[in-house]
Amino acid sequence: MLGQVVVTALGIVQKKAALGYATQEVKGSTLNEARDNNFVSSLSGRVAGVNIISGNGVGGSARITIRGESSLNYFKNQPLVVVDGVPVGNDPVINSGGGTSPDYGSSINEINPADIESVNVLKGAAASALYGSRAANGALVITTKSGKGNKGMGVTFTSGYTLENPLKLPKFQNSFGGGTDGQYVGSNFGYSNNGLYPNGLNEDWDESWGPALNGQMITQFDGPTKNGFRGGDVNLPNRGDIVPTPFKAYSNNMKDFFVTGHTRFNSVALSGNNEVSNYRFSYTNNAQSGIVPNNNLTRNSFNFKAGYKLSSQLTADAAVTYTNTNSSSRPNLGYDHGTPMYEFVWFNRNIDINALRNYWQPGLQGIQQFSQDYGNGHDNPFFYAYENTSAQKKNQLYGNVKLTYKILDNLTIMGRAGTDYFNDFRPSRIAMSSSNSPQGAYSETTLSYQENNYDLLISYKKNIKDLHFDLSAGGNTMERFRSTRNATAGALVIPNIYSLNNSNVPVQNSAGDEHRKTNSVYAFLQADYQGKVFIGITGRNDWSSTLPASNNSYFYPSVNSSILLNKIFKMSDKVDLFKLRLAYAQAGNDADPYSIMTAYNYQQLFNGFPSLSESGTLNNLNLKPEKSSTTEIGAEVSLFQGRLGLDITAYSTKSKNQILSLPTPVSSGYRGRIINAGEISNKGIEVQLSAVPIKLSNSFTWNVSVNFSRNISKVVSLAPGVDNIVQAAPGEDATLEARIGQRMGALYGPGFQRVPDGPLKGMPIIGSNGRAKITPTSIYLGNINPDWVSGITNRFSYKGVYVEFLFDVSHGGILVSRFINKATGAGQLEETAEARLKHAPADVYNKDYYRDGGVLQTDGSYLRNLQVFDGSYSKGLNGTGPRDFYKRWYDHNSEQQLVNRSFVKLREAKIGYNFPRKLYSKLPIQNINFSLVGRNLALFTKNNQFDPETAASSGQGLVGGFENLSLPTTRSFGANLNITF
Amino acid sequence: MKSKLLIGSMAIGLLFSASCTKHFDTINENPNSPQQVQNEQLLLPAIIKNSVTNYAYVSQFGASVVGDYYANQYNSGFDDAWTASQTEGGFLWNFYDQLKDVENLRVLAHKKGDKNNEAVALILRSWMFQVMTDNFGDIPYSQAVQGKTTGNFAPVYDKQEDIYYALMDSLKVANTLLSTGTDPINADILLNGSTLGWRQFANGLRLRLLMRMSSVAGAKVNVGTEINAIASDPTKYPLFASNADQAALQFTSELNNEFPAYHNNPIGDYHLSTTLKTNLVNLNDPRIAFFAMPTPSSYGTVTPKFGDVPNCYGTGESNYNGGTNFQSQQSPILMPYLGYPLYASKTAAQGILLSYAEVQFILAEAKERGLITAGSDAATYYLNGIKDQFAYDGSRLDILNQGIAATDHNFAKSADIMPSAAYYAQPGVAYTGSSDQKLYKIRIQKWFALFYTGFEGWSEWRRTGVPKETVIGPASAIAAWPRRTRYPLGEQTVNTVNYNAAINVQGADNLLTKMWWNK
Repeated sequence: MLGQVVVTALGIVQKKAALGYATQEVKGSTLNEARDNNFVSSLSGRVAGVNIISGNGVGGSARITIRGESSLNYFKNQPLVVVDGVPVGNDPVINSGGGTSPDYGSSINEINPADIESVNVLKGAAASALYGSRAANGALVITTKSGKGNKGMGVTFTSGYTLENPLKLPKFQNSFGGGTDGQYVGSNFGYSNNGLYPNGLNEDWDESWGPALNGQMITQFDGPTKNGFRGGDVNLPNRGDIVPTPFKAYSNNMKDFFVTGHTRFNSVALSGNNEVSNYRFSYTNNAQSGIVPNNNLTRNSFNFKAGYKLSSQLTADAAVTYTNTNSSSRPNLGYDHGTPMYEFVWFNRNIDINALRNYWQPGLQGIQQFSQDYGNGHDNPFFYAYENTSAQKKNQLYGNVKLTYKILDNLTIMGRAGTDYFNDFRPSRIAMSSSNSPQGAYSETTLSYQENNYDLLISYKKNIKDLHFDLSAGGNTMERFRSTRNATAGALVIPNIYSLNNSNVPVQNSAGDEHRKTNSVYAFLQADYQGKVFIGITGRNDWSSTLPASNNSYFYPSVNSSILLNKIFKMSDKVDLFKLRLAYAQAGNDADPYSIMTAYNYQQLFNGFPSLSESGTLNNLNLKPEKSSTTEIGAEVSLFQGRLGLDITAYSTKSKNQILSLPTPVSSGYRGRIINAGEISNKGIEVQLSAVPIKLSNSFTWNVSVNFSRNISKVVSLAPGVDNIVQAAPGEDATLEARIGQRMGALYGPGFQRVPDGPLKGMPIIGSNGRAKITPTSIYLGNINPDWVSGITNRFSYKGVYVEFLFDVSHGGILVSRFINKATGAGQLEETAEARLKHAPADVYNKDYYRDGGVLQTDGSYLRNLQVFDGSYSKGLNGTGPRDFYKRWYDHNSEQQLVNRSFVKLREAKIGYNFPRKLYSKLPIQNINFSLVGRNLALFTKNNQFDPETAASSGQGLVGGFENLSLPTTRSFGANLNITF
Repeated sequence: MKSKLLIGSMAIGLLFSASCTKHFDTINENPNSPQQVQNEQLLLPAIIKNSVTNYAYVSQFGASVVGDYYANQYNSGFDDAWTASQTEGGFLWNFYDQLKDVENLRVLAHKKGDKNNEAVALILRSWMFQVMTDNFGDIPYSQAVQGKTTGNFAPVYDKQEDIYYALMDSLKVANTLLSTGTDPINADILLNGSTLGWRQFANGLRLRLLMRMSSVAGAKVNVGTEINAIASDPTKYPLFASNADQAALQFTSELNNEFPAYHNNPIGDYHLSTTLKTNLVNLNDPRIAFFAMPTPSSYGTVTPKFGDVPNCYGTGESNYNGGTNFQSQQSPILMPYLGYPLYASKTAAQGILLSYAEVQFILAEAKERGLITAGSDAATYYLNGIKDQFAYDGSRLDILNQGIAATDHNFAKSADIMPSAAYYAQPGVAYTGSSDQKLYKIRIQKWFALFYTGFEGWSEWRRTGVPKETVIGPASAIAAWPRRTRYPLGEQTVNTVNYNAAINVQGADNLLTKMWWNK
């Protein structure tokens, strides 16, 4: 443990004892025991200070932040990812369309966990100073497996199979069906005015304010017709009259839409080693299907890594990874037609989901879907899942070659060239008769990305008596290219042919290119005195193409120190290590390309005339680099030969001159302008505790490790005259804002107007129309970020058997839910039946309902609105019908849409067995391991509708604290087999 | 050794810094879009299309509710759609987006000495500011849209009165510029490059402003004198001669250039309002078939029926009049493709900025009130307005019918909505009676004519109280029909100081504060 080495910035291997800053390593074996195919998700609960949100279908993205948010740009708070010394997978998340496009994931998700030897988390700027600006939010330094250390040729075979299902679904009512004011009769199911069949009654109501579900006979969309069709086959001239069927609840109609997800993971690796060379080759096939029908993904990864000693002085290393990803479809997300969760907001309780599986009207395959409701822009969810696909074909290649020349024993020069390249093709289909595009549509989007890095590093070592120096200096050139091409056929000529040739309207094209370059020089000095006191100094200067010429050069230093007190002072022999750490670092950062000059955007031709419109964001000729500085102190203690360990870090980060798009009043002609502004302070503490409470001679061992972190960020200042910035708003009204004096993560939105004083003080004010009075402007609703998080791992092992549990605990924070809001207003959720059921059947829709609150009297006092308290809400001053009673309480009232985000989750559980050698001693097998694993198995939380870790998808990545018709999170369980030959 | 290393690394550093920033300026040049536009015709089409598309969209929805043409249970409670987060788009504060491009056009034309395009910019700008100030009251004007030019990102609010005077001046200047300008107005998708057309629009718009402020006491502009000058000199101040001249954007059949609600959802939430139906029925006005769809229950029958819903009705609205089968939806020319694929027309609805009929009704009222002496008599203006509006409404129905097989439907054609002689002879239409009665007739016909013309119908109700029947229903969140709308959230949060100053001057930021011309 004491001799432990870690891989730090630029791939430099250092003794952990020498580091004056916090890093935390996760072993590849940990990531692979209960594997999440997105390795980032596996870090949750394992590393203090690291916060992960993930979700939304197979292959979806994950958001990772370390030590909170320090950038006002919500989407620029993620760490740099480095694989074998070269940045990989740092492309921004780009979803093809607006807010409701699928989550296509990002390249970081594609790094194969089976190839990972270790992930070292560099938590702050001090640790990542040599990576410079790009790692101001920390870095994940990934080292892949190599052939080193194996004698001869080795073969490892890994196989896993897991099943996945939704962790938590909302609770629905099952007492009232579709319609309004208690009435519903089906006839044309909303295909009105130009259809073949007359209107029924309230049949285009996509809300459950209809008759009680008592099994009475009603004509319904899935009822048989006298001519042998279904009621909803409204485009058939000979459909025939509908035979009434029982009007009853389908309590699982949402649950039954989802399917069990499957993951099959198979990986084989060959590796070898001799005096002059080592190599490792692996092939991994990962086939997944998600909980949404037709959402699947296949990924093939090839990884090759080799080292060759060309001479006693010259070594060559190379690594290359090729990944091919294929997905037939990913689900759309967000609040719009065709996203699964949107349909379930408006999915009446009497709809039999199974009746929708056969989703074409007879004889109209490819032309007209069969749907539960044609009237309000709804789609049959199966039709959407199978026909309106968002597929993906992505090829990614990354790798590097490295030459190391040992000029002298203590002088080395290293040159390295690395690249990260991908091409991502996304064809997207919309079938004819889709609600949002009845003539169908087809589009193709191609994204390509390349980042090249060239490094040169000279290292020199020297001992002068008790002093030891490592001095290095080097340079880096980074160049990045991105491009996007989109072509859309806005309507189809012939159904079911998805080709740009099959367009009924002119194909629309768009294109975007981006290019940036950064040059850097850096140097660092690592010195130690007698192995007792260590000091590290770094300096780096960057020149960035994205900043104005006058400001495009910026320098930033760091210094850190480690003091081994146990070696300086005489301590009990129970003390293995007592180390103090101190570090200070600065980091600069540049802008996005083309932030200097404002551009004019091409507009669609009108009557053949081209035109342009100036961008609504005004760029800035005088941009400066961003600047952040971090101070951290820490202590590490290890006692009783490693049986007890404690690591505590406290840090303070200040981020200034942030480059951001500052919102401006549109009356200035512009909606935003790029400026340098703001100061964010982050202070926090991280604690890691590890213990071995029991270690018996019969090999029974109990290991515990606990991570705890608390981060408090504060908005110190924004731009002059500006006291808030909206960072994200992926929902209805609520906004995620940075406000001076507040923590980052503050949620604002409309809320209740409340009685100012008197006996009813604090109660919502009820207006004359029986609805809550909503504040005209946004109020503070709370903070989305947890107050603290903790991960607790317990591992028991006995001979070959081990059992491990990881619990994640998150305390505090709120989430605003659009599903709860809309589905309550639509009469679908459990709550909306409670008061209705307390009424006599004849009164349900004929009597007013009264909210509890205060009603303003002419003399300025308030009277209590509700006058009975039996749950019927049936007597009071100002009332309203049942629909408004619920809808107007929630709708556009963010305060009522909040849920508590605190939770405890059984993140991982596994039980494994390493088969004893004697069972297969005659076979050329070195090790066999079998385990049963599960992830996200249990959730304990106050909110009974959602996993509080649900995150909203936006065009730029995930946003925590918002549920915006996101997919339910999942639990998974399965088995793993590992054989090493 | 160490010093050699240091020198070596510094040499590397110099190498990088000297050689590799060389092409940075070209690397950072945006390859996707130009950073300057030097040609007026590359700015004008987007200005017109983007602004009129937004405008026509809200004309059909929020404006049709507040104008009491249609009822909608979601909008007519005067709460949701009227919150500060909704008014930017819903009440066209987002015209400032287009005003940025208008300013670029104005500056470019001015620099080049291109008087005609400069005048076009002034007119479009005046129209947008007129629409906005009539919805909100005091708004940023004199310091507005100067983020780029002067770096002002917190424009002060000007008084509506001052904005009105300034707009009228601008329109006068524009009329003069156009009378001497020689440069072509290219890519003019609104008035086809006609300098005469733009002058007619400018002068008509000035009449709209003058009439709207005509009851304000102590105004600094003499409304009578100004209107008289226009009415008496058609050469200097040309006006529209018929609906063929009027400022209306003809949408096209191109994808996304159709009338703006074409790709919308079915619009089942909107129904013929009781106010509109009552007023049409009172006059036996055949245009009811233009203003609304037949009820679903009578659709396709030989006797189409029209059912209404009152605004602010609230709970149980869907059962009103026997349910939605007996409630008429919006005009057949406004039907979206979704839900109405066989009948929806891409081009039957136009984006009407200013109509011939409106100008005629303004002149009729000015004459009737004795504000002016020049021009025709009031009855002539009045009848011109009515007849032309019937012709225009009919012509849009004809376009709607062109693409539809006659057997599929029974939408009215122009001939079906043309009034008989009896229509004009009835007391409710004939230009007879007291001056107040005549003014009422002018105003109710004007209200019909202002259908789908932004918020003008609502503004005229605020000015004149016509139509009378506008009452507030139980579902309303406020005690009376709105007089203005709230300032958008963005202003409150990022232009706070000036927003607060404006409230101090104008009054509370609610729906009942009256504006300058409406006091």
